[in-house]
Amino acid sequence: MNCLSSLLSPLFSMGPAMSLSTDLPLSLQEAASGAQHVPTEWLMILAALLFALGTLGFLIRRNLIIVFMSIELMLNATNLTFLAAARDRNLDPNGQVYAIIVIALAAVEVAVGLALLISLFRLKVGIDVEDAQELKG
Amino acid sequence: MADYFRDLIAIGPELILCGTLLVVLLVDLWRAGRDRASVWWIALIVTFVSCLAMVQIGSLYHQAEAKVDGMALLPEFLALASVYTLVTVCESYYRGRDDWLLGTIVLIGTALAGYRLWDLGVDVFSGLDQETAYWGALIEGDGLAIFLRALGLFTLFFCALFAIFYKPFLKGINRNGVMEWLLCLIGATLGGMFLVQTTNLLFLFLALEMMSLCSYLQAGMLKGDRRSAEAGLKYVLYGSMASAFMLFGFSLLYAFTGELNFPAIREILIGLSADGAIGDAEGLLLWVAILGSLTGFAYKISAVPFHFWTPDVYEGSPTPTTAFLAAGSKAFSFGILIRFVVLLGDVGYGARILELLAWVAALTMTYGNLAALRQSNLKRLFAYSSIAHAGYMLMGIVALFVITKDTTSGQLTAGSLNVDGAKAVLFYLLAYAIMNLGAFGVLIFLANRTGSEEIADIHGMGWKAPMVGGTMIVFLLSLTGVPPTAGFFGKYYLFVAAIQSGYGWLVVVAGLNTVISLVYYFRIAKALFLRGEEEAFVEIQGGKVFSLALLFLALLTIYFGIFAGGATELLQEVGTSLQSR
Amino acid sequence: MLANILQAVQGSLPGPLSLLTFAPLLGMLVILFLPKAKTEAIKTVAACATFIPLAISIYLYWAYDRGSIGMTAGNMMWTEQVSWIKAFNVEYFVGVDGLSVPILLLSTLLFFIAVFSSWNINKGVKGYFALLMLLEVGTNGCFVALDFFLFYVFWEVMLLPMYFLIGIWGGARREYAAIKFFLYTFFGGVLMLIALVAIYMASGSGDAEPTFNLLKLAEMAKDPNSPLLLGGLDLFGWKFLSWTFWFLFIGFAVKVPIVPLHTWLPDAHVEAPTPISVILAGILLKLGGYGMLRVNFQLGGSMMQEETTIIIIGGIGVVSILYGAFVAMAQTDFKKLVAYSSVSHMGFVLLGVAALNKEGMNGAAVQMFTHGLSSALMFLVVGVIYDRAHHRDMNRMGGIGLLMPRYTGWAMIGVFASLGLPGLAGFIGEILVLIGAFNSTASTSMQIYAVLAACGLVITAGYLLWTVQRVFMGPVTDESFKEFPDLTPRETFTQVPFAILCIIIGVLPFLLLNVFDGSLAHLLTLINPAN
Repeated sequence: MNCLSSLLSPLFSMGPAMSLSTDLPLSLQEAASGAQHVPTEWLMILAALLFALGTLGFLIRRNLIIVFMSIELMLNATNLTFLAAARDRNLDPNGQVYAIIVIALAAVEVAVGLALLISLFRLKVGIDVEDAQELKG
Repeated sequence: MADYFRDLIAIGPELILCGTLLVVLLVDLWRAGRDRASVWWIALIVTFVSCLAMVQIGSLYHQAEAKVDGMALLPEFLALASVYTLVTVCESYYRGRDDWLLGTIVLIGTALAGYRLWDLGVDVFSGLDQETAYWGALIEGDGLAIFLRALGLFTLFFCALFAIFYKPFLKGINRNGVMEWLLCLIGATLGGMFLVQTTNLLFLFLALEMMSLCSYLQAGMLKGDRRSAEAGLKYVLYGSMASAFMLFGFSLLYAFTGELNFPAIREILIGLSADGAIGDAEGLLLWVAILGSLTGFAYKISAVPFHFWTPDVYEGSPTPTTAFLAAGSKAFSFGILIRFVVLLGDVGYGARILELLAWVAALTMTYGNLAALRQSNLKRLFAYSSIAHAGYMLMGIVALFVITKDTTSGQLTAGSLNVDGAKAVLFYLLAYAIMNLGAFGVLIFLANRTGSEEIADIHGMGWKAPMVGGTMIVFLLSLTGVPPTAGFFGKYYLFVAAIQSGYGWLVVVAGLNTVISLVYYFRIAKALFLRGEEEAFVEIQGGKVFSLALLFLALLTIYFGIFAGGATELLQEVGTSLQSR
Repeated sequence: MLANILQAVQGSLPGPLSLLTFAPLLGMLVILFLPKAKTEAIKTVAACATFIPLAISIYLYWAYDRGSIGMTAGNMMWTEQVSWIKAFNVEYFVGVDGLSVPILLLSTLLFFIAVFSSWNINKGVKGYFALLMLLEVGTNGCFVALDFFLFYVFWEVMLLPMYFLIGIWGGARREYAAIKFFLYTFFGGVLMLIALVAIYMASGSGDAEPTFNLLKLAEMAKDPNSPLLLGGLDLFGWKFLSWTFWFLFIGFAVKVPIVPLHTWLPDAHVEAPTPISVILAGILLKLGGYGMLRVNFQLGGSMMQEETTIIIIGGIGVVSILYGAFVAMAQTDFKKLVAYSSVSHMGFVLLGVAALNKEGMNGAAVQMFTHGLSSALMFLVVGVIYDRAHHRDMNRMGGIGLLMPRYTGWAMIGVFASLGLPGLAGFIGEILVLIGAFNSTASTSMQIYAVLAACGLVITAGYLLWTVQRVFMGPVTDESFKEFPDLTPRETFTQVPFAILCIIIGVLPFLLLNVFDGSLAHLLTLINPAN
């Protein structure tokens, strides 16, 4: 764990907007500095693990519903990275907005995916990945 | 002039397309409830009038500025577009069909958008409009963007035209198929047009998703066709995974720099490496970040190893969709790839990424060509060929920077920007769009008659329809890269760029690949002309307009194969604007 | 007043070389707009469109200044120079010198004759003649182009019509032969393209503008300090000068063809219809030799000064001569025999060039010209018998000499010209090449090569005389042959020009040599300044 956090630490030891604003209320400052909370490195490691888990799920599981869930997991891992980074940068709104938009688009993506899944399912094809094998070569 | 107004003008073409989209929706609704026709008529007219007003206001705005007659962007385009629209309307009216209206609206909308884009392009290319950042530097309306947006509109126009004639849309499997499909087509083009303009990671993601989502739906649009549904599903699955990878890369980039705008990211990274703040650990992270981001683009351009969706999706999708994916989607993705690499290729571990890309290019073209050799389905064959072409074009991306290797430390560094790489890719995209649209057009033409997309089923078709067969030969020559066709010049420019940057080995690989590609392209020519005899051909209604459109594309292929100079000079300006970064 | 108008009209007309190149293109467009059923009109248009270049090239041959040395700027005749693609300094630059004028005459004559030889084609007439016209644009363009890029474009333009002419109107294995021809030549073309791009980039190092102008490039290649010799991109650690030279060499050698790359030739020649075989053997093979002289050896002059290069090129030439002759001897198919004899004869071209002296060069050029005549005549001869017997198996022939005396008469001229009988065309080229090789100082191996090539001549005489014996002499083996009519007037018309030219060149070789000589002498100084 120590090794990993030293790997990730460069992410937060540099960059332009590092100094914390002193105009903020104390509680916000605390939130922004993350001093009283989970260290950012841990969050990043968690995000990376979640992402890897999602990737594995995508590659290994055959049930299409689970596969979609794996994709959701990957996207949310990304969100975590964005939010952690934003918190580390004085609650930078850019990262937070990004996360919100990713949430919205993830929903759209899954909606489209499920719609296509249903249209395939209607043609009496199962929801296992192996069932979609008309096209190959 | 207020700033917001300037911003609106800048995306005029896209706004017109949005308007077109709404009009199509309205017309469809109107057809659904004819009893309230008057209301819909009013809505229709209002929309059209506002569209026209938009166009007019745009012109006025430009007249107010000191207008200089500069380089015109594809001057033939407007005239031909209107002629084709007119012909299409007449033809469809004569046939008394129902769906011509929608297609025609799209064609008109595309033409209007093209007109607005032309105005914008004139300003950019004549150097009048130096400040090209809009929407608070969210989008960049420079030469690269103008060129690729024009290419996108061109693709949209021909895909819509092909859709009007595409038989599975007419057979009545699903009555509203064309309408939904057209909406998705416009949506995907809109996304792509924004994609090539953006310089912001957030906006990039939005635009890419807009293009992707609409493409997924387009692919799965043929209800009741299992292959189409399967194609859509595979596309959405792999696509979502690729965008997740891309997002992860973006999030790392953001975590690293705290910025979302390309130029700002570039500045920070340059500053950091100047301070010597990028060590091994940082470099590795940056490497992962850029690699992750590139995954998303590599997926869209179907580069090995993210190509696996291509054959299935190309084969299963309705053919006009396939044409869009090959010509439009790929062009847009290459556009943003150029922007990305130009800005980040020479900072941090960019050189290492570029060297990796060179291998990806070599693998992609070789794999695509070898796999295409044993295909019997035409769409599948073209899918593999499109993978191969992505490999050729990646050669231009790789050539964007001259890589030098430090002999003592083995450290790779990216040297000066070689904009000839970008120029070569852009010219190739133009050539590729023209010839590929043509080739898919011929496939639609043939499939409408034979009902099949197998090579074995088109034997002797060249004798039955000599003109269409002849145009197919032109497209095949161009795809192979034989002069005097646009494809040859594209390949030539790529070779020049790659040799300039010192990638002689890559050029040799590409050259040998071209020879391989000849084998499968001319299997099609063989099927068309070398088999079967001259015989009378039962002309199917509507074939005339379609063949004329194909003839136009073939002539354009030859035109750019002989008079490539004009387009080259235009791209010269694009290259110069890229140089300023 | 009138003079002014005439002058203005003259100024706006294309020059003779442009007209010569693009008249067939015009013919092609006219043919495409003619209705399919009007076959006679199509054939007439084709005949007219090929006659214009022939007339022009006869004029060029007559008006060519024999004292001119050619090969350098200012010494090219009838030049036209217009910028084509400014961004890459590509020009439409055409002109002719003593090397191209005779070959141009050969090319235009062959196409004109080919139209008449194709008169009885009845499948897809429109497409056939349109493609034939396009083919002529490509070949004529190659012979007049002085811009490397332009040359390459014309070079590749030839491929497509040839593919279809073999593939649609050819014999039983036509599909295979057509794609094989296309693949081989395209492979060579791609190597040429890569070398072309690299040479172009190298010519632009320093302050110099990069250029495709062949004359300028040749001048540059002479200068020992030029970037063409010193700079440029290395490939896999292979020196720029060397790899570009060999890439270009392979590109042209595929067309010549040299032995390891020749396998497309028997297939293509055998499967192609008679007129197309005539064009293939008569012109397309010459393009390989012409390209080497015009492009390859001029740009790589310093490579030619190395003994290894001479040993390789001369060796390839000798191997081609011997291999082609031996394989020809084993053939029973009359057309295949002629095809392999082409491989053998074109070997002399390489050997002559490798000699690097005046006799060798002239011999190579004359050999190209005379082989164009004799092989064209031989393919026409084969075509006549195939039209009647519908097979080409020499074991089933015999005694034709008695049955078709006029036919046999013309055929004998072809055979003996091909064999190199003194007094006929083939002799001049071969003897000059042999003299050149014997006297060559380029490499000690050249004398050995000369001896081997002379042996090749004996084998050539062997298989050709054996062929005469099998086909024209002896008893009539097949009764159905007795029904065959002798030459029709049309067939006579196609064969006579070649036969007469064979005799004229054989008796009066200076008619040809005084055109070649000046330019080739100058080429020699470009390749080897010591000479």
